Amino acid sequence: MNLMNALPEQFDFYHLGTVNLEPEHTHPISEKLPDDAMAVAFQLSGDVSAALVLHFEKGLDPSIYSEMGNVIASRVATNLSKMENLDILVSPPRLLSEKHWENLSQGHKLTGRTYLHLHRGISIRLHAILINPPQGNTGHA
Amino acid sequence: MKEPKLYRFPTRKYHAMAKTVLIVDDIEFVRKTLAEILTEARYQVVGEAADGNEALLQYQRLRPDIVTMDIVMPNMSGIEATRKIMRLDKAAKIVIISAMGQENLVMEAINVGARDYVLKPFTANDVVKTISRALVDEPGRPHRETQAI
Repeated sequence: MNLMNALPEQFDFYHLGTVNLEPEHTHPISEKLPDDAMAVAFQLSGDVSAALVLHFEKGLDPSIYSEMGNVIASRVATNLSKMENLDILVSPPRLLSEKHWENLSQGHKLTGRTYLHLHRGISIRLHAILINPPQGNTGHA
Repeated sequence: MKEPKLYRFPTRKYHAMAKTVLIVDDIEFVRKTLAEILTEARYQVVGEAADGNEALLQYQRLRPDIVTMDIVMPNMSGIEATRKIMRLDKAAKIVIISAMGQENLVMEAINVGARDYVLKPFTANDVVKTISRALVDEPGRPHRETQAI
């Protein structure tokens, strides 16, 4: 099962434009959270144990991008329920500190897909990363 | 990208008969967006809560005509909060507004007493139509039966 296949391709995001998955666009992910980035994590639990992290530029409203991450994580859970009949719950969002990010990323090959948030002619790049963490370590306290 | 200023709660003067709403969601952006949509539609947003525990306290204090309830929240989920509010007040009207679209969750929400379910990201039309539909089967406010939680 490839969790990446469950990522939503596109959705309208309230009154704030659209969010689109860039085709086959993967990006390298650092084991350190870049200084100019913030990350919000969602734990997926139940038939799958994983974390989805949405990584975005500092200075953006974390509440808006927490909700965007919530929509993406929930769509992953819903798609896996439809495609694979899996029962998955999503946790509330948690803003990740640099230390949390290091813990979460340790020992894992990190790959992600890029989303473009388009609103009123402005485009914002976001990275969605799915991680199968070590048992009991999802970056959540 | 700056979020447009949307939130004007509670500057509008409400009609005396405006239906009152309690908004429950752990994400501030969603609470603000819902408050804006409902205020524009002439509902009176009387309170907000960021988790199930807070929702329960606010419900007892405010006795709103209707509650919008998220599912995934810290401390107490929206399903559990719905179950507890319905035990407290069998006439409570609760509409679930969640990004979780699994059929079993929708069914669970309805089974514990939610009137309807709106999938996020919602449009203003989705919310207003669902809230008005959930309120419409109220020819007169039903007698409330209060029980201990």
